[in-house]
Amino acid sequence: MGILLFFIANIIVFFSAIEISRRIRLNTVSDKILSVLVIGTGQIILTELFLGVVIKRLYYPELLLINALILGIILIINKKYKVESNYLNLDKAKLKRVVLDLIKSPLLIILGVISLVLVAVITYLGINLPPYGWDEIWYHLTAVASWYQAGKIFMLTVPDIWNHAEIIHSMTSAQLAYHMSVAGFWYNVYPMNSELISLWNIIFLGNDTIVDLTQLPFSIMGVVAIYSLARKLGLRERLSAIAGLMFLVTPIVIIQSKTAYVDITFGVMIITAANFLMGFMKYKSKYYALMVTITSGIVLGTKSSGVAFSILFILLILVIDYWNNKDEYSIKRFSALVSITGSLTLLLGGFWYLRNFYYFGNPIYPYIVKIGGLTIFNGLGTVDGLIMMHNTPREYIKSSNLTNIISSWLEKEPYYSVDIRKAGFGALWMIVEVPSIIFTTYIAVKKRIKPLMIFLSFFILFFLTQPANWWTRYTVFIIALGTISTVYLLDHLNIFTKVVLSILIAGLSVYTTFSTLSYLGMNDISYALSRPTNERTIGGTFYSDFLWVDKVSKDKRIGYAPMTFVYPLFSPKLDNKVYMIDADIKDKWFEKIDEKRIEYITFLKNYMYYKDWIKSYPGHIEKIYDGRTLEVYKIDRNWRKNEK
Amino acid sequence: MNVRAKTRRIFSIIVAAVIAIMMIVTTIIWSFPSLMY
Repeated sequence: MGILLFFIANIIVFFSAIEISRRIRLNTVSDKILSVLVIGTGQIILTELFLGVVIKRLYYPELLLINALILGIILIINKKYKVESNYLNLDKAKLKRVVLDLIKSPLLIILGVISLVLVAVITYLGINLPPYGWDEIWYHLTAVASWYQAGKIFMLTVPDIWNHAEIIHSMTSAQLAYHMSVAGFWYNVYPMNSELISLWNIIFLGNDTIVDLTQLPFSIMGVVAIYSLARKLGLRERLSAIAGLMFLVTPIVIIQSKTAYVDITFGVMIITAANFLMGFMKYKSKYYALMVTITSGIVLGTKSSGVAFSILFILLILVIDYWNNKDEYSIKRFSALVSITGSLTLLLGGFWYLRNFYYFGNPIYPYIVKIGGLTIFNGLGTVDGLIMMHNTPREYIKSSNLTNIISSWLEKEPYYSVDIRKAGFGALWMIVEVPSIIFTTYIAVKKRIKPLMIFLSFFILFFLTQPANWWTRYTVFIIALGTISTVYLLDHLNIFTKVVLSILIAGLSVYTTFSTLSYLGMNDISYALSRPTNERTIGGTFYSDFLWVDKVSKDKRIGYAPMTFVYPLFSPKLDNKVYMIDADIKDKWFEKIDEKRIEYITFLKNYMYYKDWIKSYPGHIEKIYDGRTLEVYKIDRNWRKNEK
Repeated sequence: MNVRAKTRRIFSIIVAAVIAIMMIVTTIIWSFPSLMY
């Protein structure tokens, strides 16, 4: 039943997105496909926000109904005001010619086969394994599971420490970063558009089977976006398709495609926005500016650094619009464009910042915003102090950013993993793509190819805009610059070098794919896959400290004191009710345990005072698990009731 | 050989040389990770 509902819901959104896209007149087939994907994503985000925030009934029947309603309304509007009936407007003869040309390229065929294998392996892993990335079981999916159970988007209970301004303001940056990493409240302050897509992948199915595949469709969208960008630079279909598929064989893309993280979504939306920006320049059509704005709104709501990108996209729209209309430019035009792009961007991504402003008086809480010496918004600390200090590899702290970028690109990790820091772009990037960027820049400048120069400048600007750009997962968008530069360069070489380089690209793609997938041979993943299907839970596979969750029967009320990984407590069918139980004094903590009728209480053995407190709990408790990091106690609710 | 083809040939040789150097450098680095620090 769940699968059928999920299928119907996706069909409804797909057709709504097509119907909306019919009114946005884009020039190429790939732009039209991207438009459907962006608008479909936007529709999911906006309908969930409406149901979860405004009417507070975010359940699958309502979600299905509201999307069906949107489809109905758009169909009526489109019928009344005629739109072209054949949306993609495919020229069959041209399509046949293109396909015949594409299959003549051995490199494209090799990349195509690798990509199909990759998508199949990632899908298999996503379906057969639970989410196991640190960040997803820490905060991404903790928020999603909590919203799913409550049927609304709300502020989750935060550890008590964050309610005591006097304590947190007396902490050093290192202490703050430590508490943030254990007892953080990131699920309440981060922008979470991508988590709404994760929720979409849970809400109809009623379980988390495919939630860790949330980013896979965006990786595939990245291929289309790069193809489309390459075409705008005048590259043939064959080379553009090679550039697109090279994106998919990048290790960080392969690894993150099987996660409910946000970095691929973020990076691909930036590439897509860049594609529409280039379209705006090339075709001078307002519809392209509209698509940049919608995509930029999704970027804004996906990651905090999206603030800088969305401002940048609006500025670039303004510059291009001025360039396109120099002779008749007016203040009125400028003001209209600023208000339309600004409000649309805010509509799609502004909610999370508005929420922060409402609760904390700072749209990007907990980060302090200073301009010069003046504090504009107060917070708990700087991005460096709260996050980067804890996340930067030790050997990166004292070296320059450029050294760190080159170090990461040279890949010094022994193997790839979900939370990889010092690698992620693979062998192709450093050996072929980085030199290609330099040579393509040379070609652009030497031959004064304006669109190419603008494309290169855009991506270099994006790279410089992204903080901590040594971390490959933060700069997924830059892969587009590398792959497009590579095919551009291929087009400017003599036949012999072109063949040799193509063989090298094919070889390195195969090598990169296998070296990335070889991490699957690591013991924990092989072990996880060898388990019976019903035992492939987070506890049964990767984090044995949560195995007890599988052993207690479903629909339990589980309490936890501040701890890092909360999502595993919900169970794969999300049927346990999970509550943060925290207080600054013991008796208050006990009161909260009783108030929520907690049946199992768990806490980290080495964090704060809960291990000592539980010993004097005034009720019948039984320690059922004493693991590496966690302790779990069963609370006999009946005993307590009888005593009273 | 016309000028255009000659230029393309020289450019191709430079590209091939640089990429070959990158291959050698990265192979050495990956083979001896201790060189990095």
